[in-house]
Amino acid sequence: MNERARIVENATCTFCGCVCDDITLTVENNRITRAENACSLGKAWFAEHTIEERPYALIDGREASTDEAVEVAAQLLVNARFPVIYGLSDTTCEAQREAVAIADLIGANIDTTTSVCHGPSGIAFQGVGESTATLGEIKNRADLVIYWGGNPAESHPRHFTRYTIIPKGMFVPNGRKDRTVVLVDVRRTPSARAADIFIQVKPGKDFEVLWALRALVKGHPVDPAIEEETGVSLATLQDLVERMKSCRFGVLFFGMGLTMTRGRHFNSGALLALATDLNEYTHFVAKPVRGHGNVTGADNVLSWQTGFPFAVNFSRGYPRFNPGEFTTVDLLARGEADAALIIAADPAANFPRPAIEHLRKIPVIVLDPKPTLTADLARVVFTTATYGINTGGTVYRMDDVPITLRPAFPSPYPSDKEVLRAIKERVRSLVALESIPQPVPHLLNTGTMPGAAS
Amino acid sequence: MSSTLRIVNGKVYDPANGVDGEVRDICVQDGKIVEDVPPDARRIDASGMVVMPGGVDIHCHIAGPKVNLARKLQPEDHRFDVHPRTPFTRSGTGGTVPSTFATGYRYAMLGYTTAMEAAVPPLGARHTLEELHDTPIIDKGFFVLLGNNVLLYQLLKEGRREEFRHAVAWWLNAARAYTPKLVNPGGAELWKERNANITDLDDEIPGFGLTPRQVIEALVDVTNELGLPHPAHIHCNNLGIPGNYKTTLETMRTLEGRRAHITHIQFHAYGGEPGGRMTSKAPEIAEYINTHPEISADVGQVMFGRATGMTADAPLAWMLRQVSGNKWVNADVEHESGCGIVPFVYQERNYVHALQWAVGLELFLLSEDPWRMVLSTDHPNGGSFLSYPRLIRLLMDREFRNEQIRGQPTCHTPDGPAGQPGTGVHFAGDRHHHPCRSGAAAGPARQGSLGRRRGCGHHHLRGERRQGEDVQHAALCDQRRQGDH
Ligand code: SF4
Ligand SMILES: [Zn+2]
Repeated sequence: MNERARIVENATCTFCGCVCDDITLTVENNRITRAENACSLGKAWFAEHTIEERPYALIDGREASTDEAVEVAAQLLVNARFPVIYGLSDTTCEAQREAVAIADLIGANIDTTTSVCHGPSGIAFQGVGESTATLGEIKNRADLVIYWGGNPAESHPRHFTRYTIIPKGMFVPNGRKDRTVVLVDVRRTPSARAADIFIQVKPGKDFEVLWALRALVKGHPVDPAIEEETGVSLATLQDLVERMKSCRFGVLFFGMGLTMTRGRHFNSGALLALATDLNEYTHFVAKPVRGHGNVTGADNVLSWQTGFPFAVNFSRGYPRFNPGEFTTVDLLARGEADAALIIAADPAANFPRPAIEHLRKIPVIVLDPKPTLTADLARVVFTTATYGINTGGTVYRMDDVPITLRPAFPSPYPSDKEVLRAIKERVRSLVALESIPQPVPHLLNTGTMPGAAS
Repeated sequence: MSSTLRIVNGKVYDPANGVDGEVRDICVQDGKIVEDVPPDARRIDASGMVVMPGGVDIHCHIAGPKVNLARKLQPEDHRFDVHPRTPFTRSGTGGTVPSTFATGYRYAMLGYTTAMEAAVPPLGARHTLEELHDTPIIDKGFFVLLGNNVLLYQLLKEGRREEFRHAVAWWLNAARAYTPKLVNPGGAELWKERNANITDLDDEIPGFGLTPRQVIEALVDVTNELGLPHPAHIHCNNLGIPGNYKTTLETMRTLEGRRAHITHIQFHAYGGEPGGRMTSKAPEIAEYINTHPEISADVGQVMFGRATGMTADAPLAWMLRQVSGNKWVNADVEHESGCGIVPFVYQERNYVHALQWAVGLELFLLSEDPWRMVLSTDHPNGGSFLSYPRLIRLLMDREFRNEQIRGQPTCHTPDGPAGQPGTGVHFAGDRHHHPCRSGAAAGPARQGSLGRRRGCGHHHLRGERRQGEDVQHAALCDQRRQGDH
């Protein structure tokens, strides 16, 4: 069957946290032949996507229907004592909501890839807050743009061109000419080419540099020996402070170079505190540059349903939050979980060895559009439709702005949401059969708010 | 198949139909109240209970981008107040900013059946709707922030009134909002430009040659022209600033004869000078509203204990941050709004907080028309919605109220130290309240039908002493000290 070329306007690329929603796709024979406006990563993401002949599901390596796999998955989850649900950053909010519902039903641990990227930024946020802005605000107003510990030119290619450096904005009518761009990193990456100023920090010394900047902003003296310690001269720091205090609208973007190196949430916390301090002098915001297409949505869904953004455990019948204890890498490495439901993530490819070793020992259920290393070691594997290309729904851009997906063509495979909903329904009936829980009216009280009752 | 229900022996309060505490049956068929149902209908015995219309929270913050930031910000707010799963309900967490499921269940358990999220930027509408999807049992909706919208400002500046009207209508419809919300009009632009704020209705909004007064008039007019069931909500300029009652009165005078709702008016009813001593101007504000049926308001009562300041008024949140030294979130929304969040504790021993508490109660008690002075704490800004039973008791139980008042600090002299035991806070009004008249159910039912006052006209106001000038105090310097460390 030969379909004529079809155009999909305003399609959304979910390959990175930029979530560009201005892509014009040309679709021919269930294949995307052109992705206008997309960057090289986005073009590859669209071009490589085809519907492969894959089984709907695998159970212990043998082909099965989705329904059969749902039954086995539900049984595994209900019979586990410490099930863990992980991934979720490359699927829709609709699927994420189903995943949290399953976790709630079975008292599971639920965690997202946030715990291995910007989890420390989430912890820092809880400690010091954050002055931030939507990307459109930065496009329209920022005259000082600082990137710290990231290489967006390669990881988020349109960050510069669509939101931060190049575009002309309402209050920066000349675009690039009206902005000063600074890059701070431990090595000179391709992003340095886009910057007016490149500052090279010795590896593992970001916290010291950030703290010295905070001191200088507040007018405290800093020892010139800082150069020996961090590789950055006092004069360079003073110059940067001058620029930060005198700009009209400044922004500090930060990446995993800050959050996944020595200091972790102390680093993010120092950077967020610096941006807050600067508001005594001018308007200043900060923002983590998030990686996966909907990792920001995962943070949001978990937060509104449980109160916490990641590393949530339901084993006591209510949500508890404790990074380190309930982060998936850590609990797998300690050998704690006895079943895992992995959605749109590949921990077997990027977790540390002890965690992967444990995954090999327990029953694993995987939902993924593509074959993965984790699927290779799983008991149950579902092939699902690719979000954004084959399924609709909502994803959140790195600045918490919800974006609608406009799928290009249908997939024969079910969406993550459909599979998770089916598992949830089956789990619900199994949980009900297993034990008819006693209603506990006192658990329904309205809490003990100070000021509400005394 | 039709479902029928008879609720028997309850004491019924139904202000809309003039039923005032009669013991009688209520019959329900297919979700509607009817005259009678067959004898085999399901029965609920409500002996010893009040049966009244479900409460409507006309102005609260329960869903959307800023609410979720506030949830993420405060694990310490959740862990002491968990909401476990039951066979029928989802789990969650509470505190001042509960998770969505807990929010729905807890409102329902208070007897509230509707809650309106009061401040959503259009860009966050989809997020808000997703959260409201996960807020069970109650009816809900939201107001969309249009008072700092740069694109609307441009249309106004260019005098394109017809397009301005279409744009407002489009935004309301596209966002699926109930009515426009104006928050400190013009404030976001000054905040984003230089961390400054509007101080006067006739200040110029930089870059647009407009004033807050012009923005307020234009948006209120369009809301009324569009025939929306509920008036625009206005969070006036100068929130929390001593002397701001003048701005509030001036805003209402500007809108004379035009339908409008002034929200959390307690925070806008202060005398004194900016940066100086704060006093109560509740009598002046109440008097204006009593004599102007086109205006409605909600109180925004302050309750002692934990609260979370969350507002589209970013300069206000910055002020709270400076006063408290607490962690602070700022979140600029392009073209549409500012946003600020600060966890906050209202302390009985802090004079400003005690004064705010008293101003709120004064406004309730001085209001001659509870249909137009609605109960709210601006949840969670003045306190959690879970404090409503306590607030209703404060309004209905004079003994209880007096007991609370005796616990409040006052100063003997304008410059005396805060927190001294003194003469107590004097109320300018005092009367009995029925639950239906506490504003939980009565006010919202009538917001669309002004001038139909009945059933509640017989309150007598016992004018004790006007609070006004005689509660001047020095607590502001006390607050400053907190921020210094
Ligand atoms: S920047 Fe990211 S979201 Fe945008 S087109 Fe490239 S890969 Fe896709
Ligand atoms: Zn409010």
